[in-house]
Amino acid sequence: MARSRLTPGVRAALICWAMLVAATVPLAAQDADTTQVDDDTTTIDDAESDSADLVRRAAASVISSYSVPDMPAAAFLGTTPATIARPATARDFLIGLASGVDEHGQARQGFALEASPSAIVPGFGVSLEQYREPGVNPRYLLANLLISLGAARAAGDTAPTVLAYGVRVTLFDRGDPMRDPAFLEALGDSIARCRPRAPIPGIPRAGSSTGMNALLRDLLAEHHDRAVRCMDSHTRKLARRYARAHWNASSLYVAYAGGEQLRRGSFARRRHAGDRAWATSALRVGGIGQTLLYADWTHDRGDAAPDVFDAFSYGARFNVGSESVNGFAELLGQARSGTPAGVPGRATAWSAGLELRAAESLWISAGLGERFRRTAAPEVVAVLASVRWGIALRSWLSPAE
Amino acid sequence: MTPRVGPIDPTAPVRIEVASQSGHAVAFVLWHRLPGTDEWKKFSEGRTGDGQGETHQATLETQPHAQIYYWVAVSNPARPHAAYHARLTLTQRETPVPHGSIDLRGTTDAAGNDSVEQWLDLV
Repeated sequence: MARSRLTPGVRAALICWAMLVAATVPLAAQDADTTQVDDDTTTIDDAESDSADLVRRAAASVISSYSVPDMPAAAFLGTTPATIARPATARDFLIGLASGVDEHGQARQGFALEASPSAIVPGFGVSLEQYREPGVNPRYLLANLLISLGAARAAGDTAPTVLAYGVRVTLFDRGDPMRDPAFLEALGDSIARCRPRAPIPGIPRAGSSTGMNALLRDLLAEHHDRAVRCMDSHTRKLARRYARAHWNASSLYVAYAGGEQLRRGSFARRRHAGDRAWATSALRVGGIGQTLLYADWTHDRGDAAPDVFDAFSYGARFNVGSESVNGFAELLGQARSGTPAGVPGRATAWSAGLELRAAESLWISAGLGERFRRTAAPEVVAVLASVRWGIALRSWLSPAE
Repeated sequence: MTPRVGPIDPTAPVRIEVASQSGHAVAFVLWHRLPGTDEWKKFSEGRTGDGQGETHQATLETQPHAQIYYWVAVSNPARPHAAYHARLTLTQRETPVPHGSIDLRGTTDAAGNDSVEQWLDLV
């Protein structure tokens, strides 16, 4: 990778230039784009520059560090599964579980499964009306409960397989659009626009000996794809607008994951590998502020007693501004046990600055503190783009496909 | 295999309910085709937020060998890749029509959407 050597003055000029360029990006134009997420991402990906690489890596680093993971089991393993089974019924769930075990009764590498008990357990279904009930609502918790499983093996022939299990739950989210009657009305209207004008042609009459054939299946698939594309376009735009209007809504998410080491993949030779828990909370402060709190506890049992350690990472951050421009101040810290002699067991870092949303999921930051220290190194271009803490820009704003 | 629903009593209207069981917004359209004809006639449509409540209902005068075609869309942008469950229920005189409970299950896409369309043969 080619690197630029910049003087502090040039670095400051570059930051100002980047922020000015970003400020000229009309947000309304982004709204008008019906495939915003994909298009924006493509634009960034296509920029074959070292600074773009830096931006992506930095963004990914921040996302993985400061949000409750969507799939705690995968976060515990430190992997990104290529394929995730998401069963819609109890039967599919059992089939999915079975797929995690090979013909020798050993855990299968790369296995990943995510399921919602409200979807797969008969009688646990949650209607929209039940979901929207105010106050302490067990049905809301149930609907937002996700369990996950995964298996992975570290590099090396003798490394044990680790089977991880996790759970994630939204305790409350004032920015949940599915509890907002106005959003639901707009959502219903949006998806209704994608209805087909008529049934597919060529449907045999009732009682006909001609049943479903390949042509009819193709026509149904074509209708389906067209309708879903139309819905995706409308609902992404709607959801993005809603999230921007509720950027500082209060919320609380928690997640837990644990793991078992399986020697040679065998369930009979298992050993507890460790635990990890996450919590993030957002607190709305008036119309223009938000306080974010983050905690991440790790208990790692390592391969033997000397390798055991606990780590507790925490952060607090205050944003003030709007959904597209804000100032921030944050304090991050970590306390760790089992560190070698001479290595401090705790450390804190702070940073403060300004952020400007340049494009969907792309923020340009300028400021002071630890978060920016590495960008001040002479061999690094002094523009750090960070995605705001994951709690504020959730995956549904920029789905990963 | 086309679902066969019935037997239908031609002397009583059929009531059809469409409801989401999984916290998704829904939109739907229903068409009807009488036996011996090729024309589909839309007889009901609805969506979340249209003031009809969470369970949408439609009533239809029909007969054996008629057909119903449905399109049901579900959406929850807050939960991509999520399992969904919607149900079509056919009743006559407040009694479920045999085989008249149609479960629509699947997993939404990255934007939280999916749709299903299919037809039913009434017998």
